[in-house]
Amino acid sequence: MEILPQLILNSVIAGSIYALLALGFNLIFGTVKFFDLGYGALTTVGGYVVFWFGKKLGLPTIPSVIIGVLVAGVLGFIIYKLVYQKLRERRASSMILLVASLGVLTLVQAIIAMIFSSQFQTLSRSAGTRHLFHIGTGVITDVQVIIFASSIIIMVGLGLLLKFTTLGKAIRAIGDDEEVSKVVGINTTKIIGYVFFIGSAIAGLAGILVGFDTGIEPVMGLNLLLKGVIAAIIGGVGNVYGGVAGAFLLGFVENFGIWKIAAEWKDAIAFGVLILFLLFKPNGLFGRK
Amino acid sequence: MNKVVLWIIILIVVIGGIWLIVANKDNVPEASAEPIKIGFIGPLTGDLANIGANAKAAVEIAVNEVNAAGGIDGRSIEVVYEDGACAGATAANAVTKLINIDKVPAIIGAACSGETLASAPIAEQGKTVLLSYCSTNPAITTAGDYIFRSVPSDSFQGNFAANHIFTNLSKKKVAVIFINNEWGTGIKNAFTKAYQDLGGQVVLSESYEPTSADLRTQMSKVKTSGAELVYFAGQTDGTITGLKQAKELGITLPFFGADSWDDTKVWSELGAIGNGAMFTTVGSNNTEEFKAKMAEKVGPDNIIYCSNYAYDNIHLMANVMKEVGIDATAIKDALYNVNYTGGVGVDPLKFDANGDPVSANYVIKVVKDGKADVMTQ
Amino acid sequence: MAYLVHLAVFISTTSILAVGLNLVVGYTGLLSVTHAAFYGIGAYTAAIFMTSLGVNFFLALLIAVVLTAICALLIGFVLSKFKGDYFALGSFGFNIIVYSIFLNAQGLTRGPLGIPGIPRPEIFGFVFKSNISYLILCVVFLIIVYFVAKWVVNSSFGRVLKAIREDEEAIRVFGYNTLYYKLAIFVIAAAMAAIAGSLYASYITFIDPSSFVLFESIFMVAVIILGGLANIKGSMLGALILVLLPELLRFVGFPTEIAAQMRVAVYGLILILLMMYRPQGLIGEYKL
Repeated sequence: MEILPQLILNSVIAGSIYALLALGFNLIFGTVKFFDLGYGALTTVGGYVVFWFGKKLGLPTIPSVIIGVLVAGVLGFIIYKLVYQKLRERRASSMILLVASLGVLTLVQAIIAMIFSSQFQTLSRSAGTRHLFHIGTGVITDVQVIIFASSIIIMVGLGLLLKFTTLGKAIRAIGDDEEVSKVVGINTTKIIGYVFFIGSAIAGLAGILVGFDTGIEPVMGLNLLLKGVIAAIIGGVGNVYGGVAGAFLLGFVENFGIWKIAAEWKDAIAFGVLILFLLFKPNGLFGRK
Repeated sequence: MNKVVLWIIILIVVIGGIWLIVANKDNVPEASAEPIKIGFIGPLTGDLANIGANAKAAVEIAVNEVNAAGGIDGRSIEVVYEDGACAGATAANAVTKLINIDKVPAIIGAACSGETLASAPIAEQGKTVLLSYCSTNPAITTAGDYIFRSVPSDSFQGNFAANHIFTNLSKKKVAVIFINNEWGTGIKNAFTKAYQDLGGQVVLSESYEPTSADLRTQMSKVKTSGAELVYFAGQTDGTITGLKQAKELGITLPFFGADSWDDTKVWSELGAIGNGAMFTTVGSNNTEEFKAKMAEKVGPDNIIYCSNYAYDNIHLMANVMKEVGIDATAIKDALYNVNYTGGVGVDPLKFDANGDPVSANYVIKVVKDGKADVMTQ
Repeated sequence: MAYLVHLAVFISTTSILAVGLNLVVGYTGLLSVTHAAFYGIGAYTAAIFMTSLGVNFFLALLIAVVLTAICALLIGFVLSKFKGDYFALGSFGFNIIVYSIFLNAQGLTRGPLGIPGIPRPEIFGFVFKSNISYLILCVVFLIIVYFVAKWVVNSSFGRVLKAIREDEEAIRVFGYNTLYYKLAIFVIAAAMAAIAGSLYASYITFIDPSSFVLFESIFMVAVIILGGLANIKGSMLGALILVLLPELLRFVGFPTEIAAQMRVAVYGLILILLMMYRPQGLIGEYKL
């Protein structure tokens, strides 16, 4: 079974990426209670900003990444202000918000394609000079270790934020009951703005890391988003830790699944899992309610 | 909103649209200084948009060259570019518009076989020449009298590669990785059949989605498959990540690809990782001049493999038009007799009775230090 | 004019799709984003029967409708367990799974190679070769679909659907088996999609999985939202506008790559603006 360690590593890597996506997505959904599909576009934004600053303008890696994450966060915030906030003020149903977010995703992706062309790009500049770590018969690169580490750090960071800071408590309050939060004096509009900023920044980070690991293209957002959504639902939508668990579960099921079944069925397996969970455990593994 | 106002708006949109279309319909070029219109279809949006955009750039270069050399009897050529989106329906709309509104006698297109197969019956019925620069689906061979392609069908390449790998390289066990679109599937089928007929064993056959550039699992399977060589029918993105990930996983097997690997971007991105990779190609004869002009338009090392065929198609079409004029049927007849040399794609380019290029000469190229050169045997 | 006739064929098939989808989304309130899957099942069934088995178009269409209806029954049964946004997400999932099957079950569908050479319909020796004749065929089917939809909507069956949309719990309390109604309309809509699929397959004479991706389902939802939910004429209006619009953009004279992406951007923008300023669409009666 010499492939087993590699399969496990592959699952962990995939799970880490999905975890990042699920974290941001859960944060947003837990607070505003609608599925923001535009979230997927922000992964693409993050990746392309780093592409622009890093590869095109030649900025060193760390500053480019920081800029990328910030731009993604800010853009998410702006979209909230322009679109979602107005809709929520009018008490639009969550389906309207879902469709609107779909429009956002489509629009942003098209704009990126117009600016950057639809070419696939890699973010890393040096080919073949990756550091490799050997674990048993499995191999993992330095970028992949960073991806895994990021997912854990952000999960812990977000958890701490939500539990111990005032902002975190306000976020949770809004998530529990928005009306009551307003009554007790929480500036929900402002806090939700922060939520979108943080969530979108995480999305941007995910896109950037994927870009370093494999590459970016304008249409990458939807697929990443859907996997993040599946992870979030499996884990229990709105539950930060649950999403991470769901993400790793998804990563394992996908990779072990296509070990036996041909790789082309990977997406079908992922969505099959989604449907199974929606059927039998719609609140996920650790759902609220 | 007032219902009446609403209906007025709708009527304006619809009538405006029809007017726009009809107004353009009367653009029948008169004799003399009017430019000659040629159509172009390619995926300018969607997953394969970079292939379409790159081919468009090559076509633009060719058009400039033709016009700079005096055009066709003093008339310049003008290409009308339409998006096929690598989808049958969109391509069908595009080709219908080109034939009926722009009244082009010939269309350079399409890239995706889906686009070409959907366009073919329309072009055939409209008696318009359709000259594909990238579609390799075997079904196109019998798609029609007016349907040509300057890129050879997959069956040749698969055969040639299978022979070389089994006989010359003596590899009896191969793992096949292919991109799950019509190009990859076609080549995989051709190769697998030929290789198995020779007695070889395909120990693994895995595909990857065009939209997912992550081949980690496929490569992990390759590692434990017991193969002696990997036949990798991948396009640019998948090849770059696939080979990188293979190297990361510690795979030392030789990799063998197809003509899509004749793409300078792949090897410059991969650097040393690409050393030793081999692939079949129809000796793309990219001249330095062509490379330089493409570098100007789309950046250095960025010639995607079908663009040279697209470039040739324009020059070929211009040559034919100079001889027989712009009547589509005359062009079609002339194409069956053409012998085009000096192109950057297939050289020489001749068509058989089906409109397919007469079997092309394949060569094997080997990659070293970011460059691919013909293997000296 | 040949180009307009060609577009009219697409407008007709899109209208058939839209009318069916509107019955599910607009009248029953189920946000189904998997209509392209049924479109595809219809198209592939018809294509396979016509090419491999030499079956006549009209018979193939019938088989396609039946097969798609059965699939819709199964898929709908699973989906009916979900509510609201989860229904939408679950439907995403089904679209992707069905697409995956089109792409990978190569023994059946030839995967990305697609199925070429689908013949045009033939009846009593007359072949629908010219586009005008095909357009008439499509319009005939559209009229049939229109009247079926109208009959459904104006019947007591239709009233129950609207009641489900407004408050499913309430009507269940009254003893109505809402599951049955939801399944029934889902199947009817899928059957209509199968008709559109068969018409499409025979018209273009070649189909491959790319016509049935998730984005197509999203496009269909945009069509009915734009035209107006719960309004049959609205669906046809939406189809007219959204088929015509990208073609118009061809003429506006943007540089071509931009033009192509511009179409996609416009879809996105339309969705956003509609949701923000006119969620009931142009002539709709229901907001999501």
